[in-house]
Amino acid sequence: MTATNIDPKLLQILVCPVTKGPLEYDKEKQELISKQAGLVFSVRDGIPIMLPDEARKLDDV
Amino acid sequence: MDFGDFSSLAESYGKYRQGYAESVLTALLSLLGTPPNRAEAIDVGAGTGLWTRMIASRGLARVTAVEPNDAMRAVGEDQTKSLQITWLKGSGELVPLNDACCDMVSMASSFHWVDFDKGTREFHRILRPGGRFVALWNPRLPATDPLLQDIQAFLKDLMPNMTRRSSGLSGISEQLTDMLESSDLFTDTVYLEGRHTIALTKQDYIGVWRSVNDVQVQLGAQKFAKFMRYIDEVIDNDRQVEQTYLTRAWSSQKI
Repeated sequence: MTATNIDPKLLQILVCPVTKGPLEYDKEKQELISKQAGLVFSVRDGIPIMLPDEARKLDDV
Repeated sequence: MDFGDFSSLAESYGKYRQGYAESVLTALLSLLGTPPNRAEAIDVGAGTGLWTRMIASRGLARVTAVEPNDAMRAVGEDQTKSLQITWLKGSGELVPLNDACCDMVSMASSFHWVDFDKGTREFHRILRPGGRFVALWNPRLPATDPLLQDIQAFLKDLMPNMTRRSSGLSGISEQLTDMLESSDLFTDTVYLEGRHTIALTKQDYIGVWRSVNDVQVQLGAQKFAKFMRYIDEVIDNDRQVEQTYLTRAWSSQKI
């Protein structure tokens, strides 16, 4: 099964909600990584979950 | 149920909440410096996407819906599949979108849930120069409607000290023009209103009341059940209820 990717138009304008800095999109894991904030946001069925409360810390596995 | 808890309301909301006046949307789009087919819009607190789908139907270049509540967003995604809308989970206080990425930011029936200062700072940031922030509500118009007056009188008897949080006829909307004008972030605030009337079946009319968060929270389960029984009793089964809505919108330009 292939994961639903984020709409490319949305990806162009998506930033970290905390730092407003860039996000790295890991398509395999369907995650968006904010290195500056040290947070990883998940993507569920192509929908980015951009609430800091629901993100995991970058160091956590 | 808590204030602002929309998870348990999502189904009623998606089914029964009515749209906004089309003429108000036309006027709001005409205030943008960009023609609609080149304009990009972000709808924050999009809920089930009632307003979002109206914007998208006007053929905008890009429409993005931001909604924190999973249940509301799920209904919205489901109901707007045929339209070009991209959804994301986010809040109006920490918007995960780039600076100067849109021509219009809207909050439809949701601005009263956001911290004013944090929200307006974020909307200012994501708007392009000259872009517009739009806040709007769609309350039912009681003045023209004996049935609604009757039901609201019953509600008042049931709970004399009830305060309506989000009706769009009270609360934040009473001073919104002043609040926006004195914020240093926005100017040229325009206030618009338009009426539109919708014929509802009895079941749909009852459904509209089921979708109202603040009434359910304040009444509690027992009194809310009594309230719903009253509405059921005062409307004949085969009656169509003409419901007039008043769309009230504020459009304010980024400084």
